[in-house]
Amino acid sequence: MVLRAVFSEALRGRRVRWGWPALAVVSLLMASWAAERGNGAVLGTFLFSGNFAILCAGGIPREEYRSGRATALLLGGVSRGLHHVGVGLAWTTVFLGGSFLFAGAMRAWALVSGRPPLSPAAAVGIPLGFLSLLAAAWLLGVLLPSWTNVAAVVGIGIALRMVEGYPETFGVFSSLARLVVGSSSSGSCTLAGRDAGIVLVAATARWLVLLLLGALVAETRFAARRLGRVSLEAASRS
Amino acid sequence: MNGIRVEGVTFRYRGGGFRLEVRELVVAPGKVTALVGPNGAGKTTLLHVVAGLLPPDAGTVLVGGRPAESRLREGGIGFCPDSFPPAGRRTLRAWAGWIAELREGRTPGPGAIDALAAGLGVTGLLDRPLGRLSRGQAKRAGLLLALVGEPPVVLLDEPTAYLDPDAVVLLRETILGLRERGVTVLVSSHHLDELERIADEAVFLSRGRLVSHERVPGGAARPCELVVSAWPGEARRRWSEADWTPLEDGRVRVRVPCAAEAELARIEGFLLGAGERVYEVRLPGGSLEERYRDRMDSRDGA
Repeated sequence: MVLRAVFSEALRGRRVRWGWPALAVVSLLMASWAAERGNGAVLGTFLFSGNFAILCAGGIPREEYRSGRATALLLGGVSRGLHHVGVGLAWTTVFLGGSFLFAGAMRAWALVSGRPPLSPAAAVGIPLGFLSLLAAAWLLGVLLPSWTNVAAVVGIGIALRMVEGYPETFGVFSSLARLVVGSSSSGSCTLAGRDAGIVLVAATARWLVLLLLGALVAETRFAARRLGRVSLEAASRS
Repeated sequence: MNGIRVEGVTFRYRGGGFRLEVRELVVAPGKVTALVGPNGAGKTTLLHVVAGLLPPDAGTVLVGGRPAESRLREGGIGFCPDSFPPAGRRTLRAWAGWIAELREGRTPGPGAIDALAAGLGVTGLLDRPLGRLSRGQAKRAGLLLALVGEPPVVLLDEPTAYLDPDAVVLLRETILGLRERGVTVLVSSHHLDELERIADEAVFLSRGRLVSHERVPGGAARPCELVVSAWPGEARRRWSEADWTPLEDGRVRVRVPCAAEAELARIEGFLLGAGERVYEVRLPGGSLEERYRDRMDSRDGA
């Protein structure tokens, strides 16, 4: 019941209603441009998933508190951690739904136009590859104000990818980075069968771990104070 | 017991301009306590802290002997913030059902929400989306959401803001009804005449600090006076102890013995329901407003 309430309410935000359809249109335009060069389906899906992740990173948790939706649920007895999980699940549903829809459309488009289609593994794998970025963004969104967490997520993502990509230089840190961002050598576009399954399960597991970590962070006094300020300041200004 | 205890609480806004600092505040259980102070005194901040929505930088807040945040999660605190609830297409009934279910752990019984809504005069709003309500209607919707599930502690931030006179009377009756049921109420407002009618105690706050905490005198020391359009026979029978005098302009002055001050809200409700008008409600000297000025002046002079 609690999760249903949080989930349902999180889908009311403007970003859900307008953000992802707008991104789909932009990504579609980019994909149609790239299609002339033969890689439109993959690039379009990457664009859609990546941009969506960044859109989410722009302060989803705080938006919930600013809008009063989180406050209303907290007043009903929902904990901040559970609220975090509920919001994450709602956004993940929208994200995966939108991404799979987009990837499916891209695949169909390629097939109809006689170009090499997006492989089924890629259609599923590309969006899943962004899941940990999303969960990390929500985690940071609890702590950092609004769009600064976009910069943080992108910066951390690039840094981790670099560390992960050079195991001979970074040693054990490279393995740790791989736990967060996955392996760059396991390109989900080309994987198939058991390998693809392992990569997809690992991506989902990373997302889950980061989402639960975010819930734990949201429960801390430090985060509660920051989120409480957001709702109080919004209430004071209205 | 469902009292509130605030000890050594400090809270500072970013930028450091404002600092809330309450060394000790004890709100008696089952009483209505008014939180009074000028704009920017820290009333809203204090209410958010007491509600468990905003952990303070330091200090403890206990509600019913438990940390405020724990009580909030147990559904033990009903809070109507100044701006509440969130706009959207969801109806008031849906929100109320949710909050009741979250607080009580079960689906509210049939008619429970309707009965509460009738008491607050919001029956007509139950099936309307919150985003389509006026400010006053949204305020009343927020009051309903604060009271669903019958929490033993209720916090109200500016509950009379945007309300029409009829709604103010209903709110007054509701708060007095809560007190009769032993609910602890902490209410902030700038409408001191309203607070005077409902509050047992008043806490004066200025620049983030508690200036004084005192009893609001009622009973024999505080006679009340109303100027109304008429004092019908039914009213004369129900409030036989009231002294009434026709005025030259056709209106009627009614003096209510002080022991019946709590009845004032009911008298007003009765008259409005009977189609009469209430022009004035006068409270005698030593009023909350006078004391407010006195406390704020002494604070400014300090």
